[in-house]
Amino acid sequence: MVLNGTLKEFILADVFNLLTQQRITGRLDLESGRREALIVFKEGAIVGGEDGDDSLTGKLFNYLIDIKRKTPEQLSPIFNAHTGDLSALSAALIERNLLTASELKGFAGSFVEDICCSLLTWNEGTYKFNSVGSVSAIACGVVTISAENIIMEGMRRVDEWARMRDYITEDMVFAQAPNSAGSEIPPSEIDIATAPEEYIFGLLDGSRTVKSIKKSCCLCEYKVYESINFLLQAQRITAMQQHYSESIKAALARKEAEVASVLRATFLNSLAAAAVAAVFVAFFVFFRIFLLPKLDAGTYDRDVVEQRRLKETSESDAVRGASLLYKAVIGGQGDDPKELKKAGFLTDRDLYGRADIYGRISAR
Amino acid sequence: MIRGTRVFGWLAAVAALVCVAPTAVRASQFLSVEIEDALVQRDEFLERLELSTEALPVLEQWLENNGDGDFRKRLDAARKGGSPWYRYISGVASDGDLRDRFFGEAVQAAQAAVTAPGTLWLLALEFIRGGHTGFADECFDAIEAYILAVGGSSAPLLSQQLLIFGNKLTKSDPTAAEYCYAASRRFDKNQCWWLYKKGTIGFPDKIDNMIAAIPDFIAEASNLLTTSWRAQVTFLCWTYRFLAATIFIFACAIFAVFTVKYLPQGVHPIADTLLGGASPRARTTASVVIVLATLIAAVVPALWIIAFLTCRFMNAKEKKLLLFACAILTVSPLNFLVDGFLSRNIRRDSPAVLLDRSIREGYSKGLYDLARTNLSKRPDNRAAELTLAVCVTKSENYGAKSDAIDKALYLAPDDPLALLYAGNHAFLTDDIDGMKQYYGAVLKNNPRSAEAKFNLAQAYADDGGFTAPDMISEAANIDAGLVGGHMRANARYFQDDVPPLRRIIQPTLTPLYFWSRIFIADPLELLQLNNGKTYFGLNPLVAFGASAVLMLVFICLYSTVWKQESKAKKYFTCRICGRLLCRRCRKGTICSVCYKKSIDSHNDAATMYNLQRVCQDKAILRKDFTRFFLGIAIPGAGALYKGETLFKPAVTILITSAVFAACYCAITFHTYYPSVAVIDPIYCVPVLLSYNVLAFFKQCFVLAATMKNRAKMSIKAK
Repeated sequence: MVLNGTLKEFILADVFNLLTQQRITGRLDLESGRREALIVFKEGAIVGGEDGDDSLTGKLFNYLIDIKRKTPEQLSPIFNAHTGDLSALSAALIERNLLTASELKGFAGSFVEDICCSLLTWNEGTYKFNSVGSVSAIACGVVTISAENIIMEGMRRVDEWARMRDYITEDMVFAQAPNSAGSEIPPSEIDIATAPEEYIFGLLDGSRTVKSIKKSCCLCEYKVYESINFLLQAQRITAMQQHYSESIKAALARKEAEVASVLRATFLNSLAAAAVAAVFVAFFVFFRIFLLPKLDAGTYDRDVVEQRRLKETSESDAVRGASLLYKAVIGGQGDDPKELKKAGFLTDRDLYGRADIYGRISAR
Repeated sequence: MIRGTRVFGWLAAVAALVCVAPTAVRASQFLSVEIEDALVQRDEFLERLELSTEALPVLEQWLENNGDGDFRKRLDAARKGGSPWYRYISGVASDGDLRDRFFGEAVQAAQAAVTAPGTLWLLALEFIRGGHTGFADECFDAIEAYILAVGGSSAPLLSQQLLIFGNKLTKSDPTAAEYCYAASRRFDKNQCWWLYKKGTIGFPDKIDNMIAAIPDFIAEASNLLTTSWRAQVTFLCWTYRFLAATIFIFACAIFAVFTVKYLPQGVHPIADTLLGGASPRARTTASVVIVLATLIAAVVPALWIIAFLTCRFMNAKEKKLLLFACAILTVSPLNFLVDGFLSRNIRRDSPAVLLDRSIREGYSKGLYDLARTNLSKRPDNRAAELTLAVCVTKSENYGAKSDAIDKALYLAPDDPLALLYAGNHAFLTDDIDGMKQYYGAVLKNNPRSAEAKFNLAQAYADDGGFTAPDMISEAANIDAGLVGGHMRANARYFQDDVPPLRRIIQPTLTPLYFWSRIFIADPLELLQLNNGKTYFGLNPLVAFGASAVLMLVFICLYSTVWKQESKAKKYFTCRICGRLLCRRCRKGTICSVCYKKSIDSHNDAATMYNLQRVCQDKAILRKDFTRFFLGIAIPGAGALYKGETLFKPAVTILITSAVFAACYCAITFHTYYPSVAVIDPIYCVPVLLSYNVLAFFKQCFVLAATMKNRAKMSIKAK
């Protein structure tokens, strides 16, 4: 089955309802400008989703590193081996005890819910549904959320998110409040399903913007905002004052300037490297064309002359023989090798011996 | 299988013969002076008739249009002096019996002329062109008689000119062309190209002719290889050149693969030292360019640099292969010496070639001067001395006793050739004791020398002895072909008036004599011959010494440092992009580029993971395409680049090198024979390069299969 249309005509919640009623399996692709998203349905229930770069694979990777304290070297082989197959990846992670089934279910459920809810805020764009036989490659296989729940939760979040965005912006920097005690929960014991704010609390170091945290953490955008909001309400964090914020920005700008300067220096050095290479090439070309022949001729001039003489003799034999025959059977002078060649008595090989070429090539 | 091997053997033999035969034949200008003089006389005569030389090819037609009143008067005026050209032109202007009578008289007049062989030759060409091959035969008989009378046995110049002339007539008059090719054999029996040219008549329209000629050609060429020392030396030379080129190309191919595979890593120290501060990509590229630029100056030193830079990054098997390639580089300067040693005897001015010419040709001033010059260069060379001795013996001034023969005998008292010519000289000067002494000495060492026995018989005959017929009979029993042929030729051409030089058999330069006495003589001459050959501006021996030192350093480094990977592993790779790093240029585990990307992504593990995947995908794609292009350029190199196995790709590269070496030999092939008369092996190059076309298709299939598998996996993933 193929279903498509625009979100202006038919809002996403209605599409969800329709697909749920049909108890259908497939993928719903959404597009709005340059944004692309995907929701996976299995028998009418939502089992997976992605929003641009926010994919379950990436967030799982970050989760295992940030929360489970695994190393990228430990994870990369597994993730590489199961590229493009989410179910297999999930199974492999559980099999290798990197994650329990319940942890995976909780994390993936929360992720899919966040993604789907955030997609409900889209007011424009297009959708296209394609039914497929199996969704194991694009869904982890442990999440099943009813579309109704998503719609209800999504509606709730739409209002709340709009409110949070009023006082939390992407470029704001937050720091832990001076009087707040740091998080006492060690990172490996943080349950991001129940207390995501503890995780976010650890990331707010007074230098990172909301945008950068959103990008590098294992939570979705809504959860980040919600956690910051919660921490603000609890007065555990505080937004950096304008002047502090500006000083940090200035520091960041300085850092960027430094980076730009390094980049400029690198570029100039690269140009210098190209110039050095060009100088070397020029030197070797000069050596080959001017110095080496002199070196050869200077030391062994006598023999070079001898070789030339021999070559000339061998040429003159062929030319002289052909010339005699030319005079005998055609008449005329027959001294011009080109004329002899034209008459079919000689070829280029008689005129330009190859013995010398062989010697020169071997010498090099 | 056996049949396949036999076919392969035949093909290899044909290829070898094709290469050997043209280079083995002699370049000689014997009789060129006589032909030039005859040309001058002919042109003077034609001038008197106010007949241009350009009119000769269409003389009959020209005479039809212009042969009236005035021309007749001029022709009659030129009658005085009995010029053969007067009779020839009169014959062309006549018809029927009168024409034949004039032509017959022309041949007789030419025989009597001072420039006999030259005039006969020019007349013969005109007779062939006019379709009067009977008279051409008479001319050739007279020329052959002249050659035999002056002590010669062949005139390669005439043979070559007949082949070229036949080539010219192939399309207009195939019968005349065939006659020319057949006639070319009588003036040079040591060539098989007359058979080849005969086969090409009518080709490609008449392919049967060619097919029929192939077995005869192979048989004749094989016979040439068996009986001619020049063919054997040439064969040895070209075989060596082919093998040397194969091995050198093999080494270069190995270096090419390792350069592509390891040079970007190998240049890391250069990049650190010279180009610090530049971006990693620029540093690597510039360093690779610098190293490769040394190839412009000289290939071998550049290969040594590459060997030293890349060796530490190779695995154990690859290191051994590189070591083998370096050993080839080490001995490569000696190639000049070996090649020079093998080919020195087939150089145009070598004593062996001049001796062979002096034996086969009659006396000529040019050859005598060459022999003297050669002797002045090599005062103690027995072949050079003998050449002069042979020239003196064949000169008509027998009384002017030359000390050349004495010196030749002084240098080699037991040399059969010197003794035979000393005996011949004694015969020509009526020194019967000398004949008995010298021929007796030959027979003492070799009782089965038919020439010595036959010639000694002449001494006894002159002495009035009765044993002469018995000795001739014994000589005929030893070598019936030689003695019978000699006597038949004498009977055919000279009847009772046998010239002095034909009364005795002229000895020949046999392969046995050449290999045992000339080939290994004067080994120190090699250094003089190779004096001009330079190897990167160095004498080959000095270059070999330098290469040997480099090889020793290489082996020392290999056995002490590079062999053990733990010592060689001073480098590591960026864990994201796989670029080579060292402690000097980076402290961490990722390169500067990835570090920056990591900062930009706020240390996001997923971003870095994606980056790593992109880098890995790119690296795989790059490797696939590199392998593809290497596999096309040097079949077998792709598999070696991949590095899964070593032996099989190395063998494939060796076969590839042999194909390339064959192309190289075909391109650099040279001959003293007229190129229009011989097979040009350059036409084999496209056939040989079809090997690369096959490799191209194979690599396309391999690449397509790889891409297909990858696409399948990708679709499965989606």
